[in-house]
Amino acid sequence: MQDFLNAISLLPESIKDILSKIPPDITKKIKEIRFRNGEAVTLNSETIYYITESGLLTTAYLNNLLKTDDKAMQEIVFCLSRRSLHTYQDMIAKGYIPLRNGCKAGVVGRAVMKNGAVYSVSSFNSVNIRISREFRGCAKPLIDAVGDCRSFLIIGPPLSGKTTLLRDLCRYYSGKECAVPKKTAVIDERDEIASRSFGCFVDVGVHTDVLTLYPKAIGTEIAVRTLSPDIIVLDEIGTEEESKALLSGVNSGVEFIATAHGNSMEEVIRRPNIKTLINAGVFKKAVVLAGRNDPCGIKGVVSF
Amino acid sequence: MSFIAVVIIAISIVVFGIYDCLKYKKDTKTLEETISLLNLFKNEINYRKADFYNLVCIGENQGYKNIQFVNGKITPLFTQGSVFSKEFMRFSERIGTTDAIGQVELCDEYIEKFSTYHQKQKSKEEAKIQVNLSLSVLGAVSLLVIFV
Repeated sequence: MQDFLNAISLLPESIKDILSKIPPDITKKIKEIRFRNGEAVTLNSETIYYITESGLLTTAYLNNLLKTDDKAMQEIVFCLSRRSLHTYQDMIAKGYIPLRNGCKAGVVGRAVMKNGAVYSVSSFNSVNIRISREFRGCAKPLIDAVGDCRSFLIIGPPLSGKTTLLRDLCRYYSGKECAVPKKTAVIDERDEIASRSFGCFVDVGVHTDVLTLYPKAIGTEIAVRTLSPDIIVLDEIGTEEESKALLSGVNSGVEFIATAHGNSMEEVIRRPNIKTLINAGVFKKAVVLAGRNDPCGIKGVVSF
Repeated sequence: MSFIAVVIIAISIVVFGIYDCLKYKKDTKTLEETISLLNLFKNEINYRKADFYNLVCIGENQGYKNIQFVNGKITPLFTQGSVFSKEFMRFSERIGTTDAIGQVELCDEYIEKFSTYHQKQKSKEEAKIQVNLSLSVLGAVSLLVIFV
């Protein structure tokens, strides 16, 4: 229930009041809350729920459902950005706003372009709040599967638990459970792993340094140069710049744990940048996750 | 009219005059602090893209005597209903609604506005205090002369 309340804590009061009436046995299963301009609010778990204006949950598309219009969408984004669009303009241009405790709101609308890139977004069309949940110990099967290896790639589709696993791995490698705790640096480009921006700290381990909102390539370079990490943890790698930064880092003796989007290993290693990293020995193993029906579950481990 | 009542009224007139002067001075001081606060906001937004709640915290730590920071709201203690209050309310409605460049321009706009008010306020301050005090003392003395 607390995870759900954290996720909705920044919403406008009128919407928050309605959503907080949902019973705890339902809220603990909800993975996403979606707002779409002109449409009913949906709450996604294994079932899609709608909610009425009086706070009743339903699976049927009724007439009196809670809907959002243009004005409500503006208000939602303004509130999620803590009344400070200027602080989040870069993130909104990239399609997200970090919330508390590792939750994230995906934000899309009408793009305002400048010099060929998205500069800002006007008239928001959709907001998708993804609820982050902490599962301490969820990485244990993965740690057992990889053994002593600390240079591996975690592959999985959306909602398969990649970020949740990363968090638990940081806690393990830099904490008391590890025989020899490692100095860990987390390059948290979207503030999803350690959620440091807004006063709500997610535990990522005693010996972990967090680089919040640093682009992964720049953050990796800075971490290697200034923090002497044993392990660097990154989420969703794939660009050429990131690939170069990791290659440079591995030459300094740093180990990397990273994630990549994908349904299978074959799909992921076909990408040139990932293939380069594997061939260069940056990753010694790949862990393929089971998918959204078994978050944090492992489908297989491959050694390179 | 009894002597005591006249004296009370006379004193009240003088006190009212002094109170009016103090209110005026307070508005001038509040303008100075507001201008300082807006400059602080401008720098924080420019350098750190500080969000609204950060700005409130930073402002609170400056120890302004004439600006209240309560429950995330910033309220300069201008005379109620004054043009300064209304202008600050307009400013606070626009905080956080545009990109960083727009926010810095917003701060600049209101720094200029409040600085102009402050200049006018300061230039009239001495004259206003003298006139107010003179009128209130004159009024009090006249009353005493007429009725006592």
